[in-house]
Amino acid sequence: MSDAAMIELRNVSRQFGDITAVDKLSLRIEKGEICVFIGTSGCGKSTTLRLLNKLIDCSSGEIWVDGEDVASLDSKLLRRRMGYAIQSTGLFPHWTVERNIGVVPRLLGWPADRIDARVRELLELLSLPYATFVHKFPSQLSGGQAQRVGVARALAADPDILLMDEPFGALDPITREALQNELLRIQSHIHKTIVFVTHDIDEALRLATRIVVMDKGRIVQHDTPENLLNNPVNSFVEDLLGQGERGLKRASLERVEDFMLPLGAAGLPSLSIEAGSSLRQALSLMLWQRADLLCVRDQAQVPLGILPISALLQSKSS
Amino acid sequence: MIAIIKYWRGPLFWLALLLLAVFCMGQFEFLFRQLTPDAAEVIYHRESFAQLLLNHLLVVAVAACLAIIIGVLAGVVVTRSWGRDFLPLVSQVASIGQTFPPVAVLALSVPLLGFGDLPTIFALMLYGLLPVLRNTLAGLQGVAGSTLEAARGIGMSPLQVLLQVELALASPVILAGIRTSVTITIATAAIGSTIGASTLGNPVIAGLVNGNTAYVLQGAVLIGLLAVCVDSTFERIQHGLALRYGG
Repeated sequence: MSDAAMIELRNVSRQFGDITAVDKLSLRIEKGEICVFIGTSGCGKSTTLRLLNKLIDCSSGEIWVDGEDVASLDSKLLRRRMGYAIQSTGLFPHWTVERNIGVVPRLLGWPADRIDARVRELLELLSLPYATFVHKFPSQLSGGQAQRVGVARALAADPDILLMDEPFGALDPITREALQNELLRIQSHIHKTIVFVTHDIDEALRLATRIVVMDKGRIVQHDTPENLLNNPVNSFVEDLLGQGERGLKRASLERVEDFMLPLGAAGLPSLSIEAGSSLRQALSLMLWQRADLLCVRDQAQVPLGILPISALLQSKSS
Repeated sequence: MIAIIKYWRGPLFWLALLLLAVFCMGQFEFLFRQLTPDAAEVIYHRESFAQLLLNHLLVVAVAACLAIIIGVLAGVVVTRSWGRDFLPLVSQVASIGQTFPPVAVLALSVPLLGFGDLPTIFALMLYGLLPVLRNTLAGLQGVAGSTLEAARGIGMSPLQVLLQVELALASPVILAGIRTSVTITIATAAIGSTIGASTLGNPVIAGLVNGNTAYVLQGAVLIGLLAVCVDSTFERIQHGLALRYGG
C-alpha cells in the first residue's frame, strides 16, 4: 500500500449478468483531491462510485480505502465513514431538515447536544439560516435548498471521503453554478477527498483536480483538467470536450493574473477586471466592450497589471 | 385537556351513543313496540347487551391483532431481498382473497374448528388479513428507490432501514389498511352468531329466526354504532399521523 492514496482501485471489475459494467479498473485517488468521473450514460461511472461504499460488490479486484481493504470492512461502518450525496437528494420525507442532517451522527451514537451543534454549524456552512430551515420538511424546500441539505447530511459526521453521484444534475443552471461554487468554497476549508460523478463536462472542468473519463467500463483518460483539454488522448475525449468550444473551456480554467503584463508608464485602461477572473470572462468583456486592453485589479481595486488581447494568445507565463 | 377532548370529540360522541344504546335500550321499549306490536317481548333479554358487546369486542380484538401481525409480517417478508420470490404469489392471494365473501370463509372454518368463538376468530382473521397485507405491500413498495438507496448509502443496517424509513413512510397506508380491516371485522363478527359465537349478531339472528324485527334493529344499531365509533377513532389517529409527517 503506497503512502498518500486515500482510495485505490486495483484491477476492479463488476459484471451484471453478461454485461461488464466496470472492466479491470485501476486508479489512485489522492487525499484532498476532487476526482470527477465523467462519461456517457452506462459508462460505469456510477457503478464505480457504488463499488467504493459497497452498495455494489466487486466481481473481482480490490478496493483500498485509507489503507484498508474494503472487502474486510463491515459495509455499514464503511458507509458511515463516507459522506454520500445523490442526484435525487434521497432526503427522508418524513423527517425534518434537522433530523435528516443528524442521521449519521445519530447512527454513530453522538450525544444530542453535539448533534445539535453540528446541525447548526452545517446549516450555516451551506448558507441556510438555522431558524428558517431546521424544522422544515423536505417537501417544503426548493430543489437547491434540498440539495444543500443533502450535502450537509453527507458532511454531518465529518467523513474523510465524500461520494457525490450527480448531486447537482437535476438543478437549473443558475442554482447548479451557485452550488458548484459553494462546494469549492467549502472544500477550501475542509479538504475532503471527494469523488464526484457527472455527465456535464463543464461541471467536471470547473470542480475537478483530476478527471477520470470513462467509456464502456474502462478509463479512457485520467488527467488534470488542463491536460485533458490540451492533450485529449482520442476522439472520444475530444467529442466529450466539445470540439468547437475547447478554446473557451480552456480559457475558463485559466486565470487573468497568470497572463497579465506589468503596469507600463502609460495611463491605466478604463476597463477593469479582477485578477482572479478567468480568461474566458476577460475575453467576453473585451468582445462585449469592443476593447483590446483591460486593467487588472485585485479585490481591493488596486491595479496590478494590464491585459492586452495579445496576452491571451501567449502560453501561460508562470 | 380541552384541546384533547376537542380533537377526539367525534369518537367520543359515537362512544356516548353506543353506551347509551347498550345500557338504556329498555327506555326505548315504546319505540320498538310500534315496530312489532304482536311480539311478547320487544327488548332482547337472553344475554345483556353489555356482555354481548364485550364478547364481540374480544372476538374482534383477537382476530384483528392476529390479522395485523401476520399481515404486516408477511408484507415485510415478501419485500425483503430474500423473500421476494414469494411476492407475486402473496400479492395475488391478497387480491383474490378479497373477492371471497366473508360468509363463505365462516362456513369453511366450521368443519375445521367446530362451532363457537374459535372458528369465528379464525375466519375473521383470514378475512381481515387481506386489507392489511395489501396495504402493507402497497405502502412498502411506494417508498422511493432513491430514499432507500440513500438510507443504505449513509450506513443504516437493514433493520434500521426497515423500521426508521420503510415502515415509517408506509405507516399511513398500512394504517388505512388496518382501519378497513378492523371495520370489516366488526361488521362480519356479527355473522359469527350463526356458528355459535356470542356477539352483537345474536339479537339479529334471533330476531330473523323468530320474525322479531325489534331484535334485528337493536342488534343492527349496536353493531353500527360500534363500527362508526372505532372507525372515527382510526380517522383521528390517521389525521394525527398526517400532521406529524408534515403532510
